[in-house]
Amino acid sequence: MESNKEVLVQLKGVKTYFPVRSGFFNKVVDHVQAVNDVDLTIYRGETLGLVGESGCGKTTLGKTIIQLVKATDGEINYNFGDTVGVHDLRHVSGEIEDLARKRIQIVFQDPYSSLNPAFTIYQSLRDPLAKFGVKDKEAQRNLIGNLLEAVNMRREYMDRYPHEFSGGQRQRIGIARALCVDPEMVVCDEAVSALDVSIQAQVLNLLKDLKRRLKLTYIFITHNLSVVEYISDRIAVMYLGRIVELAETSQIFDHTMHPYTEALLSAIPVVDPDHKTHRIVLEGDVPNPINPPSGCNFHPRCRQCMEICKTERPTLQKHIVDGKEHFTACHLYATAETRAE
Amino acid sequence: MDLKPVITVDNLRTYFYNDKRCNKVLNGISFKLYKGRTLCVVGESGCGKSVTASSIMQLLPVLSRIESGSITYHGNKNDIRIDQLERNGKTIRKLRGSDMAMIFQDPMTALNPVYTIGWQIMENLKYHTTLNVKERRKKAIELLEQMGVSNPAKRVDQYPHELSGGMRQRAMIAMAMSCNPKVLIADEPTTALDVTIQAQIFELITKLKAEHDTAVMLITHDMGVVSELADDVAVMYMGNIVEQGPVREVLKNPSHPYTSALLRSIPVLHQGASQDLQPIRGVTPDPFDRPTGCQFGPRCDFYTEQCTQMPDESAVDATHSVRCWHADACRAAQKPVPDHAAGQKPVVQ
Amino acid sequence: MFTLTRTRTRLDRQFDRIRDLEEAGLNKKSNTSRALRKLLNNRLAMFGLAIFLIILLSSAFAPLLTSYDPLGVDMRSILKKPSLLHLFGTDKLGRDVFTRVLYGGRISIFVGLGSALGAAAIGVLLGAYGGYKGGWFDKTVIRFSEIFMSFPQLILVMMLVSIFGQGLSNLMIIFIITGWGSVYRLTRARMLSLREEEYVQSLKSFGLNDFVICYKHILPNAISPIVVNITLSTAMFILEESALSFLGLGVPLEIATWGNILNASQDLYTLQNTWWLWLPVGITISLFVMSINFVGDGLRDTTDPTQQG
Repeated sequence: MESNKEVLVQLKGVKTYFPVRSGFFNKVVDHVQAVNDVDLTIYRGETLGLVGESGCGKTTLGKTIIQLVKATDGEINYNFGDTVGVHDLRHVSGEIEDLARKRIQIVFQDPYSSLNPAFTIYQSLRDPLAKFGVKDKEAQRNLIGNLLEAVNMRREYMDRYPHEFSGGQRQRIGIARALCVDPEMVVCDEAVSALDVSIQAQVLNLLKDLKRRLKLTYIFITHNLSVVEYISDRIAVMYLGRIVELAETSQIFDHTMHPYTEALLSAIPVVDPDHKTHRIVLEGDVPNPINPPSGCNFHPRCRQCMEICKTERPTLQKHIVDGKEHFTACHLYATAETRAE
Repeated sequence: MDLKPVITVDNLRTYFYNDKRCNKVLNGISFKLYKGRTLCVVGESGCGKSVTASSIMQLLPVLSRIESGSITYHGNKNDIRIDQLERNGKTIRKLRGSDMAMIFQDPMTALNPVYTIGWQIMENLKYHTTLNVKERRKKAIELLEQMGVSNPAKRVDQYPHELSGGMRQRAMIAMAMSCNPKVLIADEPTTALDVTIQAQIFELITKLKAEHDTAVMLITHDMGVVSELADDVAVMYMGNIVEQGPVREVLKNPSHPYTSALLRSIPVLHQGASQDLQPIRGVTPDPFDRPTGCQFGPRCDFYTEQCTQMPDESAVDATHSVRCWHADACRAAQKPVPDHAAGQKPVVQ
Repeated sequence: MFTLTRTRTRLDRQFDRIRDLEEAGLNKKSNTSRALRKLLNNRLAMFGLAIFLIILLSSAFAPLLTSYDPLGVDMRSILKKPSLLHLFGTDKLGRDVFTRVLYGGRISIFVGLGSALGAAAIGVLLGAYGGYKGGWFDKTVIRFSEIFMSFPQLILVMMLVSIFGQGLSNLMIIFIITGWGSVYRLTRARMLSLREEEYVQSLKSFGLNDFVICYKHILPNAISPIVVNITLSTAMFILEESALSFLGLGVPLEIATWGNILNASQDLYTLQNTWWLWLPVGITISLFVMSINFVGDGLRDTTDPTQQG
């Protein structure tokens, strides 16, 4: 990333733990360490892909940023611009909190549960709009109509119920809903994963197009690396609540550093009968995030595991690879050397 | 070629009768499953790929029926017409689990949570083999070991909830493979799993297929899976197999507009942000309000008058066939077609 | 065309009919909702609804159907057998039993329906918020509901009767405080699963008020099982009213209710010799309760997709 990019969100040591309760008195016996010590900077106008397997904490991280889940520790500094300044989202209230709700929005995974089946599109959007100042009925309908047109749907659809729409249409309505408060940043939580392949392309292209027109910033959470490669500027790979690799998209694919990323990339089936990958099949399963392994989280499954990996946890280090920034948390690259390929 | 078919499906029609309406879910499909080969059935949700599997296994819901056509199982002694069997009768129950086995998408709901996985594997052995209790237990442990389950002697006494997703899927495959079936039907077996676990399961299925000469029918919506795992592929759209043939042929040389449009609409790994994704325009039609003739017609770039009649299967070559009037034109036009997706309108806010 | 060797069933014939209509292009998307159509096709539920309406309407329009006064004592005609003059005969005080059954229905149905609605109101109000919000509020309310549900109703009735005396409202209060627990639990369980839906998360991400999200946006999706529950508990409360009044603990004797009519036939002599005092009213109670249960079951079945309808 060039240094002239404006920082939009900066995460410092963010931890999100969920208590595990057990026994007669519901005592907290342990914690699921869903997000553990994440440092991350998101620049204005970029698309950051957040990838990893289920249970790696990518969704929790997204929901922590948007304050649907409260972080246990750390700072989430959001840059509201010159007049309002930078605030830690964990400790805002009143007007600033409402402003944050307006600036950051979310698009969900499941097109079938993301719309209220009992309400028409207009009815379910009425309350959020009223909260953010659009109280007049005509103004509300006009705005929703424009939004529906922006996601390539007809204005009249606002008076229909969700069951009348197909999965792809619902997802587009979900996007329109997120855009109704004119946000700066949209968290897309597996936004295309539940859609049929032919519909995925429609929604992906729509998201790309909206980003360009509305100058949005995306955090794109997915487990599908082909999709994330298509849409992201930078990619952060997560494993067991921690970021293990972070770099520009082409860097991740061309100069893969972390052994986990390497295995993940090789495991994906490619649509090309001529393509014969040397598949690295990882042994075993993702460990339990209640009790993650000592040292490097990945060491029990890593092919290049060394002694130090079992005891000492690697931190996310900055490397310069091929002239570009490349962060990785791995003892294989112990010194911040420059790797040229 | 000395390919031996295990199952022949001929012009199969399965209709569903819900809500006083008749949904023609399968509208005349024909294909064969061969020994030691994998057929991938690929298509979008609602195209009838799962119904194909449940028709073969006779696991159709009550409010549905096989209208015409035939499903023939070529057993050791004689051929059995599966479609003529009494539903859930003695013969089909004998076939299921021993000659034909099925694995499902979600191993959490496909395994019974109140019994150990060993018990569930042994239950299948009890009805299909003559082994006694001790031998059954030994066999169950053996099976788990073959499936790559670590510490099988301990796992055999564990309940499904104690296992991870990948382990559960292995246990389910162990159950399916317990009687050495000739046909293994896998309905989206890895959709609920992570990619690294998916890679493990695919390796296992490939290994089992080679060892036991099983005919595998794999249902998926992921073209990547098709490309990596299939020997043959059948592309389904709205109750018809629109194109089928060896996987290389179909992916390299798609002859049905739907297949080629589908391939153009998915992002391919290692091709970056520059690739030009072309969504298929329109939406899949309402199954109760189908277009006449070719079901893909209204979304197709090659649509003509002729397409109001459903074309018969025509051969592209010996193994590759397609149901399209314009297959030649489609093959000739393997260049990007103009994007008909809805026009871009400015956002007013 | 259909080439099956197995025996054809009724379902097959039904399928053929639907298929032929479909092929003729006659099956149109129906405008009435599927649930309503299924209910209309459910013979038992329709039968129940008919009985329910007959009894309900004849109670409501009792003065048009009978010219007697339910409390009017007529010493000249005591314990008369059923005749054209007195359809169900007369009781020990010469009151017309038919009239008393009709007028009694008003009170009994009012008690049953009123208690069911009251219990539902409390249960839904607490259950929706508790299930959505969780935390100490939910924990406290669920303990309370357990206490009320575990309290023996009979003892509670006797306690309240001894304190406040017999009365219609007392009886309804007792029904409500012992009955809200089941609706509460039902609503809470629905809310527990509905609150995980993504549209709820979306509303939260807009920072909307919890009450708006809970009562306005989520609750409409939980309403259908609650309606079924209300119908079934109406039937239950009517039975309970009859039982308590029969024991003399329910509604004061001077008000005619189905239970109070039965109360008159507590002794063996009445049971053996004057059957018209207890049989007609007994049958009415049974029919009414049964019809409500049929309707309730029919409503429940409308959500079952595995039935042709």
